[in-house]
Amino acid sequence: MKRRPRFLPVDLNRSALVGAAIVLLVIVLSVLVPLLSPYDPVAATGPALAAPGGQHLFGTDQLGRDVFTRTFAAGRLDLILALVGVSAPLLVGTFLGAVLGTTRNRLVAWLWLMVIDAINAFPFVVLVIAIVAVVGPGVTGLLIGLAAVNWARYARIARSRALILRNADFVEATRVLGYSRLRVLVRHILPNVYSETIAYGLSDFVIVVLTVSSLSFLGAGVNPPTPEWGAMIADGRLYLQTQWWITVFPGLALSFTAIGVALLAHGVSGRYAGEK
Amino acid sequence: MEAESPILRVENLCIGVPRRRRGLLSIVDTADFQLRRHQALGVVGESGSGKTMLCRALMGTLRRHGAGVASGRILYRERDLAGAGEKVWRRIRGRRIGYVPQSSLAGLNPVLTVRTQLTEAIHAAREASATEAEDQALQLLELVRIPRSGQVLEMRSHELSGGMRQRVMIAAALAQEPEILIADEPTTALDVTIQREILNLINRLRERLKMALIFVSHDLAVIEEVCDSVMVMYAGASVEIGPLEAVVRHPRHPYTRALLASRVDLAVPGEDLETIPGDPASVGAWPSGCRFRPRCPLAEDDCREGVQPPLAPAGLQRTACLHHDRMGCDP
Amino acid sequence: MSSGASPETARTTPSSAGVKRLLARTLRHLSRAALGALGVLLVTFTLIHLIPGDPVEILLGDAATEELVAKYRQILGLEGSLPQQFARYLASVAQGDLGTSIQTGQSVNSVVARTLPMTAWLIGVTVLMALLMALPLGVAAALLRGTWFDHAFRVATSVSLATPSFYFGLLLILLFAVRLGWAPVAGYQPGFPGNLQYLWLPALTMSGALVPILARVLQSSIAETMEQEFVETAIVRGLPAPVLVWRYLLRPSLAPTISLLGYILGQLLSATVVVEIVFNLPGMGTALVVEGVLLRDYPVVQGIILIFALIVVAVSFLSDTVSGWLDPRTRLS
Repeated sequence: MKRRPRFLPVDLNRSALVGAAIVLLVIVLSVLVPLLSPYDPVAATGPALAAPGGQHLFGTDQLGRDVFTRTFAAGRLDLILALVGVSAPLLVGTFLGAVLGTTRNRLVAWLWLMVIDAINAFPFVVLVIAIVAVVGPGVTGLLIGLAAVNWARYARIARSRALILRNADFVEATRVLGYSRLRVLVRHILPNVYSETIAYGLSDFVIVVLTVSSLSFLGAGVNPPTPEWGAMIADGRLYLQTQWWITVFPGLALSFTAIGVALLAHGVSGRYAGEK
Repeated sequence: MEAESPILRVENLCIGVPRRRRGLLSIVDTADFQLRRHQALGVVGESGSGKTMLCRALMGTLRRHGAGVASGRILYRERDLAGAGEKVWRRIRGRRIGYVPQSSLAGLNPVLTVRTQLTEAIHAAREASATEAEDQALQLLELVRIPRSGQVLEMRSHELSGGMRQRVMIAAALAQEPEILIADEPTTALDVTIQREILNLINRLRERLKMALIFVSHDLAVIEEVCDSVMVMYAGASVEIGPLEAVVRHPRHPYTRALLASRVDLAVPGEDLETIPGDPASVGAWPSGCRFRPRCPLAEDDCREGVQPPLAPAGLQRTACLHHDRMGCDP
Repeated sequence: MSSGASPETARTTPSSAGVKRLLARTLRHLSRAALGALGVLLVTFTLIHLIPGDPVEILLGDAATEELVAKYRQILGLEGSLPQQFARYLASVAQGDLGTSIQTGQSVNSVVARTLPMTAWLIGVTVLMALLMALPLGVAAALLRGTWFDHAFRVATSVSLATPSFYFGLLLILLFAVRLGWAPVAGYQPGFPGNLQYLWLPALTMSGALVPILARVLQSSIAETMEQEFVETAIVRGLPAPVLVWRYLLRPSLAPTISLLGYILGQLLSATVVVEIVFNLPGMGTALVVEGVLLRDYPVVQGIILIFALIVVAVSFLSDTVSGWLDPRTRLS
């Protein structure tokens, strides 16, 4: 008699639901912010350093820009950047991993695997920073850095999955039927592998969104005056003791988004997100 | 007279798992037997018949498996332990009840040496100096016929073979000189030759240490090797209980008879083995009346009524079958 | 109580065969570690060199004349093919020379020597702090499964994991340094034990990311152990509670946590970079961002990455060894 784990399945749906609600709220606010707010996110629209209140819901920053407008304008940018930062490596990495998992060329597979493991063992953000250091800070550098490092994680997952699938009965059966290796890979292995990596992609989204803002905070990502959560927090740092709202609101938005996606990922895959 | 009074009496024991908002899921009910000093009781039944849960009830570990005693009594030397708390059980376990678990690989702690596991069991049972405990650990290993005991003392479970592991498990259970030894399928995972050695060992030790034994197995042939009485369980209920000879020679329950008939070791080459028709009743989906009814060749309309029939005397044993008088007297 | 066997045979310590096995295992781990380090080095080297755009031209900008470019190429070791460059770099690294900064003309070795001790201290304090918090938390969460504590634990760890360390660090500064005055707002003075005053708040910040992961893994690992038959056996033997918790719950569950720690520590270096900037600590992370990203100092980036790679390898070697010591099962593979 084994007791059923307690976190199945009631909690699961609840956490996915809460997560989806949070993510939806952030997305809606980010998309609708031009309609909801009369202010320009990059121009001074009021007195500098005004406290949160009727005119400016989240107050204004040191240049008199509206923090509410900037927070959700930043949300749009961060979400898009994270989406690109997840999907590009997902597509490339999964394909590569699936090929590595099915190839018969042992040496090539071993070499690639060594590269993949080396990248994965290395601190993620540090490697992205190193690449940004060479390419140059900015959105392009950030995305190149993310793509160059993050594909390896997807490749690792896809490879292990493909290795299992290669020996699965139904794949064995297609081979007996004389289907070409390419057809087996594309029609039978890839779809199954993608379902696995997409599930991981959701929890990876949390890590990527935190990385994007971390790099922007360090000055290696999105450049001012473009609103971005990490950059805004870096901006407000000097005023932390007195004008806390410049830092706290974008930070809350960031954490809130990350929690929402993590809950969603946890609900969908039954695992905790963020545990790499 | 004292020698004949049972040390353990289990009366109408019911074990259940509480379910959220849906009451109790019954896993074992009407378990009913007694154990005298030096008696060896075999408990036989298919998997899912509640054998292991019964053992857990006797050791007070139901709660960590999410189950509990619903009703009935576990009288240990006339003291009811059915509702006892951890404190009471802690005094009973080890010193009074020893346990040899089902799987010997998982039964030993993989990170501790045999020495640590034996000596800590000794220390848990009584005061002993480190040297005394160690000397006794060595003696125990020799008692269970482990060669090179000095070396084995320093080993961990993955360095031991299956048979050795089970010997160590038995040694650890004996370390506390229990009155009752509970062995749950102790030989199931072993090779046949090793199995025989372990059974011989248990026999010898029981003789020597005058322990009572509860030996759980799905295999009647194994129980015949070590036990003098047997309890047959089906779908959480005791269906027949009595002296081994009587039960094997003259089964008084159709399920017992079916078990005997399907024994591989008595099969005649070339003939099909007899099997029991139908599927075993599963927990939570027990039929009304007698639980064996859907698979029983003797079933009549009155078997359908009420709850599982209680054990009633029949010959030398007791049986739960309402129609045992219609059973032929050969197995 | 007399025993037939002599106590000597009973108390044999690890035999010479055991020592040999241990040595072989250590060698195997070491060689794997060395191979890993080489792999990381190769990968970072390739990544940095495969990046679009000529670093020299980017570096020199409009001032790039043919002469200058050629000169810088030589300084930076960018002549010849990629394999040639890599071989040259490896050779100089093997001699202990990490190159020269193009911005300051200092040797990269001196940059590392200046910044490494502080970063090492930060990592050490963090690991100690995180373990001290994660062990009791994980045990409590496992034993109190399904209670309010478990739920609170899960919510708290989720929130903590979703909070970026730069934000968490700023909040901690606001609370502990500004409001309560328990720690300096920023800066660093080397020298134990005075440096702890500067390090405890950054270490707490990094623990914010480390503790939830460790505690959760420990929790699920203990939960798995609790299902094991040997725990049941130990309970039936009536072992005292401390023995039960330490020997039968914690020790068999610790190995996965320690191996994970080894892996996460690598990832933790990312947090080091961010936290050093937040707390204005003069460590390798600050050097990487300031001299690497802001000043585009190519050899410094490469040198620091190499040191980071060595730290990653050393740490995973260490955690393999420790978890092997804790749990002999892992030694089998």
